[in-house]
Amino acid sequence: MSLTESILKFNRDRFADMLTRATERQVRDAINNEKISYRDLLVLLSDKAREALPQLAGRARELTIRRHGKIINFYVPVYLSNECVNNCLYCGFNSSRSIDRTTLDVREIKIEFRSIKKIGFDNVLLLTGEFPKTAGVEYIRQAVGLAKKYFTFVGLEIYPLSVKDYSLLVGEGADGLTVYQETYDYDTYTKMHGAGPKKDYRFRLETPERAAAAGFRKIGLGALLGLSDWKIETAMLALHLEYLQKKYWKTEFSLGFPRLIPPAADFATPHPATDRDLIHMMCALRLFSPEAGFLLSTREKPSLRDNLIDLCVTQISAGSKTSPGGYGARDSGEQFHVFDSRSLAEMVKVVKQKGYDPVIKDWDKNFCGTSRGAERESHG
Amino acid sequence: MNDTKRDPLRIAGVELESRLILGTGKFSSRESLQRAIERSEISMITVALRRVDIANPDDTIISAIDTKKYIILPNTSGAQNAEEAVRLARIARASGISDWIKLEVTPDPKYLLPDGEETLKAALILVREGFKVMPYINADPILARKLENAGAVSVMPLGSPIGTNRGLKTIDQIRIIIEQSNVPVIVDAGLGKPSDAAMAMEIGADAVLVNTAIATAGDPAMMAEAFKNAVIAGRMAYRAGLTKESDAASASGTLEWISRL
Repeated sequence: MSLTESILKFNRDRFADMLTRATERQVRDAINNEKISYRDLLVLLSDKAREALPQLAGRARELTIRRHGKIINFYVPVYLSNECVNNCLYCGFNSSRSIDRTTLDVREIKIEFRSIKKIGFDNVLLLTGEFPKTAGVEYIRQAVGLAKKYFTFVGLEIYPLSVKDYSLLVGEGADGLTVYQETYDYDTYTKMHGAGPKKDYRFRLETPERAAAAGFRKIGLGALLGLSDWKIETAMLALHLEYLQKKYWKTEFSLGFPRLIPPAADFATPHPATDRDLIHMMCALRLFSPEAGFLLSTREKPSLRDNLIDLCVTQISAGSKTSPGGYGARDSGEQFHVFDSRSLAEMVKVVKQKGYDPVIKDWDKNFCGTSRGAERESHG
Repeated sequence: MNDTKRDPLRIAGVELESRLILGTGKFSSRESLQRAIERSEISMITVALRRVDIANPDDTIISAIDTKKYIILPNTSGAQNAEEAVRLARIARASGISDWIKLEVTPDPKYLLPDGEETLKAALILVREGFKVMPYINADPILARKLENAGAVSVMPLGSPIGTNRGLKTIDQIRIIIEQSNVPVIVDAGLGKPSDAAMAMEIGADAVLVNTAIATAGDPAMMAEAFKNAVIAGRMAYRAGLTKESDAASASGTLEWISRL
């Protein structure tokens, strides 16, 4: 069965039944097992597991430290464009919203990169909406080339592309690609993306695979929490991760946990995820995948971010601006309002106080994509 | 054998007093690393080049290490093929860090297991260019021999996958490597407890490399000292003849009459 089929045919009734029937014993075994199966992961999402959240969290912390060390890596998002043809109901860049739209030109991009470099970052995430007319592949390729002159690690969070286009970007030096499925629930996905190219659920679901085939070294997955039941999203995200790790064994997969921040009063979050839900999800996935990098953005408030630093995250952003030009080039509309506005210097201090080593550089410019990516594509 | 005699580890013509090599990647702070370095009394320390900002030498992990006192062994952690590892090594030497190189080629980011084929390829190039190459390998005796023939100055088989603390799971293969090797055998990766390190030394390993078990301990400095002592104890036991006794049965004094039959 293909990944898409497995996800579309996911048996919710059986899952719901399992969530209520999992026993204390099963939960204890799943927490203590050296390596857990997919079934164990589902047990860890159960009602009984929720009662054992402190034990689950303890194990998540232990596994994180053992694999990743007492280390926190830093990255920073750089919005290049907020122009977009899509109508994602939950997004601040939704084409029907009237915000100040812009796509940075080369001069402005350089201003942004210089000021980010000066702050001290070495790992950037370049973001765009979906607007090929002004921020298409050629534009992004140029931005990657520029970014590589300033930063060691360049990641992208852009609209889904073909293997061919992704290969162009990898060739230019792009190291990572993040693409969140938003929601793995087909019906919700369709409802949230009524118009625009993004309404194609399958094309988006298969995007990480195309990116891996093109040779991106690191790929970020995740769901936008709040659109659908977080437990189902977690179960499907784990399925997605496992599938990709088996097929693209040279690619490093990481997970993000963005929680929906409503862009305006006219949008109510359908399935809000509480702090406890978020932590439950992260810890269960940590047991399932000790090796995955866990990313945390400034969407979350400072108190929660500080707590997550010594729980199971491995990479955080700081001082983020969510509007193109936000680091000095110009004013424009933001995608969402950040809840943690502390600077890199302040966060470095927090990380140290927590007993962790803040790491700025953890990459090398000689890492050039997973080798033989194209060859794998033709066989896979 | 005189147990008070100096017993340095000789690699590539260099003598190291300590048979414990320290990894640096997982410490919570520079201070914690420095304390562990001091308490462990090591001679050699490995640093991931991916963490070193060549353009900004004051701000790297290397600035926390007294390079006069310790040999820096840069490693190519993160390289997925020979080409990347070779480039990293060249930059390390060109920027004056070291001509020693711990060769790590790990295309699988999940278990970080080494790629023998690419490691051998890189070793051949780097040896030709004059590097002192110390390859991280799976516990594969044939690969160890090929690397020795290629000119590697040591081989570094894993006890179990990096960061797992699972100990000497590959002990039988490591025994064969030790038996056959003409260069030092350094057990690298997976040693979770001082007793694992002691066991590696008891069976005749020339040295061990430890990171996770020390860096992530409750008190890394104290654990560093515990490993130091375990390595010394294991080495002493090996020199005292422990392996010979366990490997082959020898007739004890009271059975001498049998040979006179």
